[in-house]
Amino acid sequence: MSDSLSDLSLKSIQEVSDSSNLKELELVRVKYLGKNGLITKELKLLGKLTPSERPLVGKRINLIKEEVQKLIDARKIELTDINIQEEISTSSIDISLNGRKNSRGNIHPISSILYEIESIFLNSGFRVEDGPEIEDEYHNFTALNITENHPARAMHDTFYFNSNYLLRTHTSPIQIRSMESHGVPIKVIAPGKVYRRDSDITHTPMFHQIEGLVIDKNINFTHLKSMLHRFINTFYNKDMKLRFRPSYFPFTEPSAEVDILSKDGSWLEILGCGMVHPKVLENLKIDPEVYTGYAFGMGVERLAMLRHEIKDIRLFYENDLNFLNQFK
Amino acid sequence: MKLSTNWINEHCGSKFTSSELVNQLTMSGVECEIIKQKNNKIIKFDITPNRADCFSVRGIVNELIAMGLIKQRKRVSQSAKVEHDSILKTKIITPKDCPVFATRIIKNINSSARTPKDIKDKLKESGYKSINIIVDLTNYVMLTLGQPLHAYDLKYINSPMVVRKAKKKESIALLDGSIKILNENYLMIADQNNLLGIAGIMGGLNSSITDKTKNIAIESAYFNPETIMGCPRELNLHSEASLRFERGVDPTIQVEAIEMFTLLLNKIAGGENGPINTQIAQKHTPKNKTINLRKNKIKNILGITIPNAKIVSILKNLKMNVKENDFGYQGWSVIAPSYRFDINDECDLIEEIARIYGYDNITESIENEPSTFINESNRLKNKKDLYNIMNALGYSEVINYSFVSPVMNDLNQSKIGHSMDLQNPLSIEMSVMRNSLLPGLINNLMHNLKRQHKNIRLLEIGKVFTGTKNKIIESEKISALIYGLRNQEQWGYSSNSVDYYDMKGHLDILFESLNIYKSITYKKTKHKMLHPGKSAQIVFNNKIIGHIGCLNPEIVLDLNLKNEPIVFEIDYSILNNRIAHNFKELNYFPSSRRDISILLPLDIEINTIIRSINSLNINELSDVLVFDIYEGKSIQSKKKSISLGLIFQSKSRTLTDEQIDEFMTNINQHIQSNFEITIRK
Repeated sequence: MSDSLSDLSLKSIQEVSDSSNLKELELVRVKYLGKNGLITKELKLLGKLTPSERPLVGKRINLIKEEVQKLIDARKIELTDINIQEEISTSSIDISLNGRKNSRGNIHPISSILYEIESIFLNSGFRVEDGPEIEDEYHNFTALNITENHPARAMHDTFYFNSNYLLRTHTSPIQIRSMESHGVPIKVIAPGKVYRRDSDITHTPMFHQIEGLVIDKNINFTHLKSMLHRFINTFYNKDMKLRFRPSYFPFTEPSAEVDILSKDGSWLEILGCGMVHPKVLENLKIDPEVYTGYAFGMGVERLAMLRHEIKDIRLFYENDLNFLNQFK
Repeated sequence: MKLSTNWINEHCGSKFTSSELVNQLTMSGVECEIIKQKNNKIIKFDITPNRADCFSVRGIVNELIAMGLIKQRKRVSQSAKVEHDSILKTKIITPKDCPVFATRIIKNINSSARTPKDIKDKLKESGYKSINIIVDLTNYVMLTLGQPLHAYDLKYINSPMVVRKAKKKESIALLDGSIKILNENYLMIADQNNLLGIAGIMGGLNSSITDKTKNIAIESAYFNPETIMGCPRELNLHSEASLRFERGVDPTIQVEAIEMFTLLLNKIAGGENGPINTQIAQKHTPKNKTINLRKNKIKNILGITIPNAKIVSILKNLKMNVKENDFGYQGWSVIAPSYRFDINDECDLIEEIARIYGYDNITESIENEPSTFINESNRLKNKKDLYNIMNALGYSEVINYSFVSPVMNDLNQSKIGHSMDLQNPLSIEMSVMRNSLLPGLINNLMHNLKRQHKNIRLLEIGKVFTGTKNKIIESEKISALIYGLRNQEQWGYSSNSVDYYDMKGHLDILFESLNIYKSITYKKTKHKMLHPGKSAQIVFNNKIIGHIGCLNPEIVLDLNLKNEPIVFEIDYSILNNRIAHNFKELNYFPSSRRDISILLPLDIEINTIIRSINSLNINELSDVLVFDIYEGKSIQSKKKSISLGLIFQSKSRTLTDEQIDEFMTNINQHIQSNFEITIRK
């Protein structure tokens, strides 16, 4: 009896260590330790033994059972590890193959510059205002001190619907409207589409402007210079050299064009500005003796063309994906 | 206007280089550049409309004097000898339009005399062709002094000469060969029989100078700028004379200009001079008023203190008459010279001081920050979220012109109101304001298909326009178009074409981000541009906010498209309805799912079944998903089979099978009694 138990023990130990995979190992476990396993069976036979033999044999069988179970557990860890190692060493993918994707679309370069400029001015305490694109003569011209016979009013330059309504030629009327509705002090920027009757490599009949207006007590030219210099530095993300050069706009006085010094040493015009003309303030029933202000405006296409080195403005409105997809 | 550096130097006795002149003048506000190809000796000027006085060599030299670069020189006025007493009788009918009118008759001119090389060269450098000695000299005087002159062949004038308004429908043949029909707005130079020219704009053909002209009348006038303004544009006739008269010539130099012309002419081609007949309507000549200039206002506008002596010297260099005054404030009484039409108020003087002082010499300082914070993040957040979602879904933004062809507007469903038509469009293709962004997107689709793009997703944000009886309606829209494959062609993906549901899913993502997804419903609709069976109105809180659908098959056929584009157009203002995402307590109890398949008639919308299930208000029913739809073989005709997954989850306990069975029994009974459907086991 004891011999057969030792045989069983030796055999099971041998078979556990011979098992070459988890499946075989499981078969070995079932063969010896399963419900009807050989070792389990021996335990069931204990009842047939004499009461004096029973404790001793029972203890021995249990020791064998524990021993075999331990070996099985150890072998299981070994085999699992072997499996992983084998899996790792045999499977590999072509990591050079393209990833699966659907391309992202992108924001139009004009919108993205508008967005950027709006954020910069919002951070500096400006409110953003919109206004109608179909304007009346008063808001587009008269209120801005543009006289009846000013060349800008010509049919040649302005799209008209009738004698009173037209497509706004600049975003300045938004400023007039926002002063009408909010009064002073005021600090706004007005972005949007504007229209002029012109079409060639540097002109499209529709383009975008963004204008700013600040009116308060004690606002002067030094503030205008500082605001624009800080804006341009932020926009270009570096200290820029600027020059302010006298110019003419009917709605500002003094008026200036602002040039930036380009890489090649030439001056590039990027915006127009000036102190709000007292007549514009008077038109809005604001006392120019109490309030002063500055205004500025820039062409968004021009900024985009400079930034991306685009020569033909018409590309912005062809909406060719080969063009648009370059501004991811 | 183009002038040679040489001419400017000669006029003021200096030796500036072209680049010195350009740099200095640019910084004084006279926009100019060197014309590169001509040995850098010609400067092109781009004079702003306020600076009429700069349209001459003298004007440019005045700027150099103002900047303190050269000293003022005393002018010596010379008069030509008068040799006979014939004068041209003139009658000024409307002196308000023509306050100064000077003429002189010069006889026996040697018509074969040639223009000297020096003058010819200068004119050529300024872009003028040499014509004959008389015409060349009028141009030369104009470029030197800024005073346009006009010479008539005396033979063709039947005096007296009359300055009057045109009569309606009168017509004239002009020097450039064109014929213009006139109206009462135009000021004319005429004689007893004929019109001789349009005042300040162009002379007539009949009295023009020829190579044989011996006797002339030379005219030098000051026309009221307001009379001339607008006329060249109306006639589409811009001449060098009109350019100057429209902005205003110096009203004090008419005689000086005739004398200069006469002296030059006599020297080169002889001629016998009559006296100058000058008619001046003092009442109507412009007079520069006295302007009070306050020192504190200068500081108020410019923000810096400029020393008094500097202010006075700047004004004096600008040839202003300056008197110190003290009317309770420190300041000056200033009178601008006769040629400065742009200086009428204190602010005009402050600008003069600033530009001559130099904008670059004005410091920078930061104004007081506003006392209130401005939270405008919504505006940018709306844009950013929209872009993020749409870009991630593959849509590229386009920007189209706001004007389209009438045909494109007709594609859109007719709405209340009429289209906004431009009076003066660039072309018929750009003649009406768009009433939808969709035709533009279709155009972009066609353009990009031609460029061999296959999968196209486009987005546009912009306004559409309609007019009603008493107002113009502008509303901002978000529109998109999708075309081609669902996934771009690549390994490991099947390539099906996009359909209605792809785009609807994209809208779902947008509405989910706004947290209004549950308030959105879709209703079948008829829309001219869309497929009647595959399109819907999008409704939010009982308000139609837009449309979605496949493009109408007739349009697809017309455009010869292989696939069906799907589009949507919604109100931009929907973005303002964002609802804050409130936190819901997390639910840690397990959920259970039960699936049912329903056989139902084709015309029942699945959503009505789901809404009906939801109307039972079973709190534990947390979601219903549609995971399969089948029509066709093995199913009764005119029926479809849908499979729903019902997810149950309680917030307070783990649900038992018995509880869920009870819910399912309820649901099955409810939908079976409300719809003609069969529940398939």
